[in-house]
Amino acid sequence: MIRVDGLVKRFGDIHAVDGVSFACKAGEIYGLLGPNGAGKTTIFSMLAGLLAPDSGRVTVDGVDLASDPLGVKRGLGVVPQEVAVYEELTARENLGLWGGLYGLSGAELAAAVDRALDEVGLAGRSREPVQRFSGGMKRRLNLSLGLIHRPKAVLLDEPTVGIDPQARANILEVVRKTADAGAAIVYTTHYLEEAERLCDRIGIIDHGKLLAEGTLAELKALVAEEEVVTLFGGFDPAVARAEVERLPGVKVLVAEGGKLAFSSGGKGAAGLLGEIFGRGLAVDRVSIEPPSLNGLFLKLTGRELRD
Amino acid sequence: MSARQVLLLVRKDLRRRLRSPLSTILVLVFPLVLAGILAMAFGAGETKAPKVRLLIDDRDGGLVGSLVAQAFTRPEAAQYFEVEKAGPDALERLEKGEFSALLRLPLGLTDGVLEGRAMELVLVRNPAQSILPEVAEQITQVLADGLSAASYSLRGPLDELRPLLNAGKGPSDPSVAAAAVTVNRWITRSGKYVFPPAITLKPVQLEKSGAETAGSSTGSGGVSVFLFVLPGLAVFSLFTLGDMVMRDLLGEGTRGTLRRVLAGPVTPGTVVAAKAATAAAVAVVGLLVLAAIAGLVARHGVDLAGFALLSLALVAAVTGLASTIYGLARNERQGSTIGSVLYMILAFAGGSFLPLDSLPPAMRAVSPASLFYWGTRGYQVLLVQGGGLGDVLLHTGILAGSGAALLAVGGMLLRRRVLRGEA
Repeated sequence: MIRVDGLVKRFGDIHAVDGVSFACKAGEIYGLLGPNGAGKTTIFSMLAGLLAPDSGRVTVDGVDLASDPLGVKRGLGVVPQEVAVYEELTARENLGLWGGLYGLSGAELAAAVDRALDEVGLAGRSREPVQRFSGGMKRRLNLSLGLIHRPKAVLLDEPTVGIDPQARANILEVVRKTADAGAAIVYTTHYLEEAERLCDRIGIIDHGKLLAEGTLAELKALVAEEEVVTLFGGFDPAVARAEVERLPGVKVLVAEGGKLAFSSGGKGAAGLLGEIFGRGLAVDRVSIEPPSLNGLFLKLTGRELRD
Repeated sequence: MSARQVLLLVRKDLRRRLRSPLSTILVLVFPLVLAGILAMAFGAGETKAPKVRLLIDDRDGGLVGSLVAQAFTRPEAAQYFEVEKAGPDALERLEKGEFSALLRLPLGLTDGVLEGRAMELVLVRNPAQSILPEVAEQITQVLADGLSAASYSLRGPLDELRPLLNAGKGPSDPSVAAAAVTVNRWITRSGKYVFPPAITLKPVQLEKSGAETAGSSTGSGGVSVFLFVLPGLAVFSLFTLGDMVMRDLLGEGTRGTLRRVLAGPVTPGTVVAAKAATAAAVAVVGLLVLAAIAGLVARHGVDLAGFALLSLALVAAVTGLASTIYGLARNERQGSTIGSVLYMILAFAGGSFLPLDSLPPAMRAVSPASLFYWGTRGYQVLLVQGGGLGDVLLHTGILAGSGAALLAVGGMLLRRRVLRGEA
């Protein structure tokens, strides 16, 4: 349904997006997972037709976005990261406007507005100006504006940033239902848990490059049974690195002031720690992380996704 | 471009304005309040323009000095001037603001005029006032010109008579008759400068070219300061309204709603057209409000066709200028600053705030380059002078032409910004 081939975008010397390719099928939620500044929003903007790529191609349902932008946009639902709603208008008026812009009218528009309000639980407040809404309610309306016309393909850019757990649960539920109804959804996020819980397939992105992609199981397999062990203490990181690297199969991921992270190489973390403590490193605290997306990200980039 | 989408976007913007009407109301109320204050200050609804209070210090005491002083006290001049003979405290009273100007007629003025010598009239202006001393200065300048002309014209007959008088014998009857004929002709020629009509010279000039000062409308009677100042302030208000609406396009860029609209099947041209149409709609509403109030105050009928046509042209100019400003500005704040400064300059230069004749000559010369000038003058012609459609065709044409050109340029610039993702 949504296909991205070799997308490139530069801003001066900066490669914001560097040859990204992926595809998202109908009924699938494709998560673009990466830290802030990884290039997710730039990709989102190019998919939404708001930013022209330097090279590469985006097609939706086989139609090239560059050659028929309005045609593609008619079938696309877009939910931006910021709450882009008209605060002076009511929820119903906002939905009516966007439905109208996408070509709905009359009874069809009225029905779509009612359905969208029900979906996000705003039917009871639909005639109040949006400026009276809480942050979570605005986020839910923000989502429903992108879905009012029942698009075949949906782009969501971090739709749950800064909201309460209840509103987040509602949004994730609506997104899941939309995919189950057959829409292809590209979902950018920097929340690991969200990607793990919601997405059928995940692409890990950093510095504009897609580092890995697959289902959650496939991605976890990339880190096999490797645990990520992180030591915190008053040791010299260079000395600690040298000591740890002597251990067979162990790979140091991070070595900086007071912190040393390494992958266990499939060996038991407990046995490795016994050897390390025997070498006299001044360790205050230890963290052992089972195979995870964060471990994979750490392995791929040398830094944590949460940084 | 989809007409339905344009209508949807215009309706959205009008609804937003209705929900947060304060700024729009303030901009609309501004000319009414200010015009009201000025009307109260200068006597709203009265049939007289504000009077110039003039002190005359007649050090000459001769025929010419007395003629000049009388010129300001004749009935025709009395509706403009309140004259008082200056005493030793003249400057002090001027400083206190009791008078607009002090006219000093020098010792020997009569002899100087008769002998053709250069003489100097001194007019001391009250620095705390601007318009009224200017009126006094201009009228006095006309008098001075008239006296100069008289001095030159009389020199011939006086030169003929003087040798006869110096020789100790009386002048012959033919030479007296010749001098009398010359003097009579001079009086006929220069009467329009020196005698009472000199005081009304200024309104006569104004009637030819349109309303320039508060005194201009007195020719037709029923002048109202409120009606006189309202057009200029209303024009300023309308440009401010247009600016406010077009600025919202960049505001929407900041708030993210513009990006969202453009992510839908909506072209940048549609967005820009919708915003321009909103600006026009708001300006029309503003005009209707102001026109209704002006209609209530006006004592004569207003030519509706002229008003409508001029208003449409003004709306085009308002929208076009605002589009161009926000098409060129780097961001909303810069556009707002540029707009505010530019509108103030254009309003002052165009005579929206002050009568044109109170402006320096250099500024007066460039006034027609300001769109505010054509709007203000057009409405003054319709509302104050009772002019019709034919009288404002030039104003309408210039506003409409400039508006269309600016709208084309501004629309192109805004569309380019939106395409680049800069809005």
